[in-house]
Amino acid sequence: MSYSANYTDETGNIREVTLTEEDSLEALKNDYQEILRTYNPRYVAIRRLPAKPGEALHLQVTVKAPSHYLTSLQDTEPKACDSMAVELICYPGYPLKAISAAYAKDHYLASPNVFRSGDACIDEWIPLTSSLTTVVDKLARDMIHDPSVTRYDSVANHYVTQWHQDAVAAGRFPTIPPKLLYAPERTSLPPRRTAGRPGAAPPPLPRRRHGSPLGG
Amino acid sequence: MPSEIYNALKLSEYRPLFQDKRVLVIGAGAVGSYLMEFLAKMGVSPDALDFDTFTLENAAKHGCLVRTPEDAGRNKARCVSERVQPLLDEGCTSHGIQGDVCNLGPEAFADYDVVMVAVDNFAAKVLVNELIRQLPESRRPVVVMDGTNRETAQSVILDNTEFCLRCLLDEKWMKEAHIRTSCTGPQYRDDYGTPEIVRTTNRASSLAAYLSTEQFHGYVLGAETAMNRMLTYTAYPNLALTASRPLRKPHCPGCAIHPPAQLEWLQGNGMEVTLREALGQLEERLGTRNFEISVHRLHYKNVVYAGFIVTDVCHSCGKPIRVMRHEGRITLSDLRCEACRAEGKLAHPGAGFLPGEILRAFTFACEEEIQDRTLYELGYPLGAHLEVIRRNGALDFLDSGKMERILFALDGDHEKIHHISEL
Repeated sequence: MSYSANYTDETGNIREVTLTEEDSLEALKNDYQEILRTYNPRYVAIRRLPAKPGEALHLQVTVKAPSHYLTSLQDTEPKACDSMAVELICYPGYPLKAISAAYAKDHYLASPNVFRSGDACIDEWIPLTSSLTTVVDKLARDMIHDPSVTRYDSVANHYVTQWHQDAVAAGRFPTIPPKLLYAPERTSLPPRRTAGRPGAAPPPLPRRRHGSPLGG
Repeated sequence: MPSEIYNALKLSEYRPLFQDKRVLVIGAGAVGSYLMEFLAKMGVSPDALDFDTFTLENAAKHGCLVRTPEDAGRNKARCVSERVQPLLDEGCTSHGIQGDVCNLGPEAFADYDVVMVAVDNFAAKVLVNELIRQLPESRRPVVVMDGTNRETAQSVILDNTEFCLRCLLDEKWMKEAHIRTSCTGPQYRDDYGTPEIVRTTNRASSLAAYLSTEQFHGYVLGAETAMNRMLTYTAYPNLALTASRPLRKPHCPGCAIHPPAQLEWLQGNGMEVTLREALGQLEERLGTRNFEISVHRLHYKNVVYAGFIVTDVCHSCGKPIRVMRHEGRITLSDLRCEACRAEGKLAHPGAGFLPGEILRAFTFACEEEIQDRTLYELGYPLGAHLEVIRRNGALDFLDSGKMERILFALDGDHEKIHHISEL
């Protein structure tokens, strides 16, 4: 069995991409390893939960930092808490199939990007661009109310939009510096090499040998 | 009656070779209606599949098998099948199936010698290719596909050994794969940078059907140069009939599809076997209740539909509703409550609506009402391959070493298609 989806590259060309079961599994393993490597376990705990029928991977991501939650469909008064957890589900066919993410219905994140049912509003799933890593990153930052990931035009929960904007204006959000979420020992990219002096001539090409084509 | 029509002394001596051949014509419109007539007169058993109905505008292109105006408004497949009944030779049968090709799985094609693809959109051609390539070579029918453009008619016959149907389609056409060129009113395609109205004539359609049946004829006769060839008829001023041998397309997504390495069989057919019965048969075969059947994954028109919607909300008033349908068999207007439907209120896509319950797999834990439904009602097409997963204590797919994936098919599906009139 294989999975396929359309991929639009940076030049706008649409191409169908087909993945086998093995490719899908490989992508899942790689992305899971990547999120384990990326985050600081002191602030972000990632736990595998037993996957239910039809699920490929079920994760719980807990951010151990000040956050705010709501308790029901009608609740519009955010309450403070010391940590926040979200569950993510990847389905067979990942990464071509979208993943889903939800908070507990009675303890869901007070954010303009979380539906009042507790489901997180993740942006449009773009195959081979969106992934578990991009979603976890957005959710982890949303849980510390980092405004750089907040979409105020979202229809998910407009009741807390003003509250969120006021807290950002007052400097209370994000609740911790976002860089604390990431693993400090993560290897950085190699330093950029300095560009050559402008106008410097490139080194000469090696001299061509004018021997016989047959080497004789 | 057939003996009065078909005088063996006056017709081809090869005619008996066609008597046991079963052909499925997908699309019973401009080309398909001619195909059905030609095939019936050749002495084969042709079935037709189409979801669409004839309109008066179609009369300009379809064959006279379809009567104008009395057949306007009738389902195309059922209509042409009914009209060929008096033309069928002794022992031959024809069934018209009103339905979408999305409701067929690979095994539904296994009983046919030839599948003729006379559809008007690339998405359906790609899907048929995908389904047929999932059949092992021994049970895979020969495919004949035709096409028309202005006065040009083309037909290709293939056995999927040298190239697949998708190899013949330019990938850039896939941007507009859903456009149906036989719809009422002008249809546009943007093949060459500027949108153009798609035009064809009944001569092109009848010639495409003729070329297809000629290729079928060559295949049945065993002509060496018949298989894996494309015939192209070009009209005046460049009148020509040419034969060519298409090549495999590099990195063709269609050629990447292969039959399952192993396929196990369940008894019955998907239109009659309930989920409860299928689970029971699987329990007997696997010796455990610890397994799940993945919900059917339909890949059509660039979308993968892989969920069974149990509950949702009315997309008009927001009231919770029970849906009980597969994602791929639902339209937005189906997501309305009884009251809004009765009042004719429009459904609208709403990101603000709270999501309902969607199943991704069926197990013994499914509610009774779901278990009492047939596999077809749960979204599996007739002839589907069912994916059964045994987790064997695996926490998730990352513990893939513990997991087992087995594909099952129903042994009655290939026969059932000859006895249905609606999908």
